[in-house]
Amino acid sequence: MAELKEDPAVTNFRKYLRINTVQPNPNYAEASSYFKSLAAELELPYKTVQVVSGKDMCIITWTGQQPNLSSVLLYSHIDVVPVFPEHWRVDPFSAEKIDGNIYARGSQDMKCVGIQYIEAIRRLKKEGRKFQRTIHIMFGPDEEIGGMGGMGTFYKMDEFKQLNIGFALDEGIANPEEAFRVFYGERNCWWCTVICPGDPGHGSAILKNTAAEKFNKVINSFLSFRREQEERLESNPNLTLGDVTTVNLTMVEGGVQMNVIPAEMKASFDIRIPPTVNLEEFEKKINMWCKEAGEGIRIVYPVRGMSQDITSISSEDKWWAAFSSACSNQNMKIQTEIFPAATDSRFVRSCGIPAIGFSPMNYTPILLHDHNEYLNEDIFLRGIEIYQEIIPALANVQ
Amino acid sequence: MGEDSAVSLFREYLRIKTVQPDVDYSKSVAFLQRVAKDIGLQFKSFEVAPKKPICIMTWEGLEPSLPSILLSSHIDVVPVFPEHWRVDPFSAEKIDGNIYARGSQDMKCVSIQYMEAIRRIKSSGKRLLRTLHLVFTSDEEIGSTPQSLFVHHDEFKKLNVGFALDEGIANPGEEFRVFYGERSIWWVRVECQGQPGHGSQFIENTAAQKIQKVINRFLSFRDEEEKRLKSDESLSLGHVTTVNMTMMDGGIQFNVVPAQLSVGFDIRVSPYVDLDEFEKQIATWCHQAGPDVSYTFVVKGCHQELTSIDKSDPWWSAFHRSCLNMDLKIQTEIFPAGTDSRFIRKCGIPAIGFSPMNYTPILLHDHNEYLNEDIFLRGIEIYQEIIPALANVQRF
Ligand SMILES: [Zn+2]
Ligand SMILES: [Zn+2]
Repeated sequence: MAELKEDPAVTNFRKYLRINTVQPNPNYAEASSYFKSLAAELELPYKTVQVVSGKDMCIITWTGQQPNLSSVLLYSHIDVVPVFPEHWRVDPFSAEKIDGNIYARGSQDMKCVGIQYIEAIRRLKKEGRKFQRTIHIMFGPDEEIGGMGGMGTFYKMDEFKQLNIGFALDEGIANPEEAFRVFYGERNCWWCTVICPGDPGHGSAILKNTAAEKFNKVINSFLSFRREQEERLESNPNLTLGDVTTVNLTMVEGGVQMNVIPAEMKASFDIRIPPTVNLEEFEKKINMWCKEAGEGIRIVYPVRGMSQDITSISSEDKWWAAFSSACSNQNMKIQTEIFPAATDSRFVRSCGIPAIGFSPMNYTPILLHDHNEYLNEDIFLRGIEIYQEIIPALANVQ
Repeated sequence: MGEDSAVSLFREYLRIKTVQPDVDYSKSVAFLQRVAKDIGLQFKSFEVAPKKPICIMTWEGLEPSLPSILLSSHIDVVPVFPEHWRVDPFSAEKIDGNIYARGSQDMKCVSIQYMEAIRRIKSSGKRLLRTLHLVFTSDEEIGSTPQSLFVHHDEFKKLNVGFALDEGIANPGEEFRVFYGERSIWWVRVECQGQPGHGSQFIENTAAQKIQKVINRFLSFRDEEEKRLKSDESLSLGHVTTVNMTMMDGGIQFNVVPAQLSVGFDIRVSPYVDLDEFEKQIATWCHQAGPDVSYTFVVKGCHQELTSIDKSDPWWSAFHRSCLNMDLKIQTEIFPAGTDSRFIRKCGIPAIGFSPMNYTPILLHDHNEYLNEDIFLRGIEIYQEIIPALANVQRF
């Protein structure tokens, strides 16, 4: 049977997926030249702004009829998280399509959205549509490693202010059910490394004050708190993941050789705290766990978000009204939530700019950061149609 | 007052750097050859593996057909952190009679004491019944591979060893510690596989949950054994099984729930423990921690041979009697760590671990390792009694 011709939007999506932008060494140069070629196709200006060496914000701009009005930002990050190829059914950068499902790292998080913005704009332009507000399609680096090489630095730069952004769209999460998930705030992300010092010695001895004992107590305290929060979430159907604090032990490190009791062991945790939690109190709790585990324990926070900004989802808000009525016009069920993880939206919200996290993927299992991440091509194509409604609504907000 | 020539020789030997890793043994071999010639002992050295020498000095006995006495010591020493030392660890500086150097206790002292004792016995004109072999081994501190090869080598069989002396440990008290067995070394690595995902989620079946259970199991066993040791005065460290979590690794980045975390334990299994049962115990702990938890042995020693410390044993009675003759208080123990002796005992040859260092803080592998010169010199006198007693054990 001859294969039906693939929609060119799908082909563009798969092309983008094949550009290896996996952390820790993403190929941003290749991605940038790809965006440049897409901008040329759209006949829109393309520019890059260097954030740090080798890391640029890539911006395609469609100037509105009233360029002095604040603009609409369509944002996506370029990088993707690492893979364990041995657990994948296909090469994670081949973007193979099996039964209509496109398998690739980044297929959900979030190269789909980047191309959906492009393809929606392509169609709107083709229809000869014109909007009041300027639209910026922006691709940013390093979201997956904290954003410091991307939006986390860019939002403080003059070039960001010059974009005069009034409202932003950014990533959401898939949902296996019918409803589309819409995020109006996010939990604060704390990355916390607990360093347990101890007396070193020979591996055959019984020593007091070892790093191992402290490490053991530390992980027990953190992980039993994890259990409590998990139970809280399970026992209350009104809560979503964004409403509880999650804790994950993601990295451990320590030791010199098998027969040497080490002088130090480290445990690193990824903690996500909902905007309703008092951050000072929470820090005290962590300090207490560490104090109880023994002497000399130090805590460092490579990332410690302290912003608790929330975007309005009140019907009186003109941006929210535009977004939500575009959804209801298409009979989409939406479900508003706090984003369980951190996205680059937090930087945007901290400037007082409203931002909504939304990736149009319903009927799709949540596979971001997981093995065999995929997106169905029909869901992907439907997403373009959805943006064809949402983008004009936002860009025509009075 | 001039320094005793034995002390000078000891300090000279300490200054030859034989620190792990990648030891250059050539200078030590030349040193030993020179001393052997000086004392009038036969000398032989050969490599059991590339750059891993074994040196043998021999003093033939009056009845060379009788099984011989092996005086064993290793040449290498463990690494140093010079910033924690009061002197250069390879300068062998003497401060208030204490000789500071890596290897001063573990165990260059014993090598020189063997040689100096024999020098004195020889120069007194005595002859001994049995042949003496002084064997100097390499790489003991990183697992004794050369010794493990040597005991299967023809050169070892030719020695026809009947009894061996090897290293012991210092004691701050009056007693000399005497070791008649040692614990088996098990280096166990436990790998926990789990469901990966984003660090912001609650994922079931994670590697972290499993490693937590594994660590809790192993460390609570550690606590039990520590309690057992403390509650029974007749037990020494060698009688209990120790567990230390020494290695830990896993994870890729902060926001990725890892697919694998692993942990390494240094376990020293008491010779009184049934090794098969103990392994089953480890397997159960891993099994109970969840699916996809596996363990591997980096090292799995099986060294449960004990040297007789029964009065009826001719070797032990010779050793023990000569200690009594000198009014030495001794304390018999299981060696808490691993030594070259385990390979000798494995061949069915009795071996005693003994480093004559009483009134000496335990500083092996520690910063500022030292040995007092008077203790060192007294050790030579002790060997002047023990070595003839062993070498004159009658045919039995
Ligand atoms: Zn993302
Ligand atoms: Zn030693």
